[in-house]
Amino acid sequence: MSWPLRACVTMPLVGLASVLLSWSAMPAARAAQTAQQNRPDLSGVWTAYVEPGAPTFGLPRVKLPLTALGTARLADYRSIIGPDDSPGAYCLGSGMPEAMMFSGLYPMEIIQRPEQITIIYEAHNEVRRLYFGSKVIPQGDRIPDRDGYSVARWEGNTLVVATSSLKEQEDTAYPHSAQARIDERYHVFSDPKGTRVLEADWTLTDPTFYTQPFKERKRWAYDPHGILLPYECNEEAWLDHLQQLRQRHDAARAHTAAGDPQERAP
Amino acid sequence: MKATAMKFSAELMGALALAGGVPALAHHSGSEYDFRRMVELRGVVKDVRVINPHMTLTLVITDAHGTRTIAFEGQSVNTFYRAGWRPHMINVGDRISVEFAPRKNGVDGGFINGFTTAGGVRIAFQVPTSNPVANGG
Repeated sequence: MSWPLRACVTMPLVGLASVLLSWSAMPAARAAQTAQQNRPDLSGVWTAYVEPGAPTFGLPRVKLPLTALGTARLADYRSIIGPDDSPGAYCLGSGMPEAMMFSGLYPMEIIQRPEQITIIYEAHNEVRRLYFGSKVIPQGDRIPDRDGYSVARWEGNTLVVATSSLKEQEDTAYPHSAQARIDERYHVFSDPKGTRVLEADWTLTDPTFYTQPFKERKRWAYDPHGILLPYECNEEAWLDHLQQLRQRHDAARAHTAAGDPQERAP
Repeated sequence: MKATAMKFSAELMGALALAGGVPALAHHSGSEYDFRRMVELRGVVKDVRVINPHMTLTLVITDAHGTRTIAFEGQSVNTFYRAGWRPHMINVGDRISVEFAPRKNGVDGGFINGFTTAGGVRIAFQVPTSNPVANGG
């Protein structure tokens, strides 16, 4: 068959196949789009949710079921620090799960896109990125981090997040090993006053540091007028360093201007 | 790099104290301050830095013991901003009063939770007692 004739026969078939394929894909695409549209939009600023009679802050509500190794690592850490030593003093973020639990009264901002949810905790400008679907990279390619690497998916209206690739941390209210995994489940509801509340139920699983997984809960209130402020923390340290450099520079210049006595000697 | 200003996040401790008691152990220690008490003192600002993680203030005060300078630390710039503080509200030379949790060992200074500016504006960090949205954010 000559090329023009073959093209005349095959091209319409290809076109027909494309149409059929797109028809068959349409319901699935439409369903996915509908599901996307129906998902709760968590975007916006969320602040501490204060329940009547309950303190704004609290230490872990569970007794941490540490293993012998976890206990030893924590004791070793505590034996070297003073009462004023903490990562925050060095403008270092808390890491997960403390970043989520104890960011003080500072709010957090959520930016939601279909393929990624970004959470910014105002305290220390700590940022988490929750990746969906094709944005997720293989386990071996992830860089360990104090906030770990988070993979997310939707189960109906519940946002499900699995966080791993964490760093071992004793400098936190929830000490954990690098093998720890945190599973979070977020959902939104309205409280009796009509406030929009974001609730996270989470579980920390870490056989190296803990004899069993333990669960905690955290709530935030939606703040429609809320904004996040900058949290610059180590500028003073830099300015102090700059001042020292300036003093050294000025001293050296003064020394040069006065002249080196040895050079002046005949 | 170490933040030169402060050694811990006492915002948490102050909030804990105001919210109903400082726990025996927290990841940030504010152990040198007595957050169960708030003391007020008037003086002239010698130096002020409203920064993160915590503000610093040096005040020249005169009392029965004479005239001396006292160094304080306090809540973060973000916290004071939300309480109403704005840049240039406190300046060197201003006569202001500060509310602070004193040191447990009786040494001068403490952790500032609030202040009243030379213009009479009172800025104080407060833990919301009910839903912050219902309170207007």
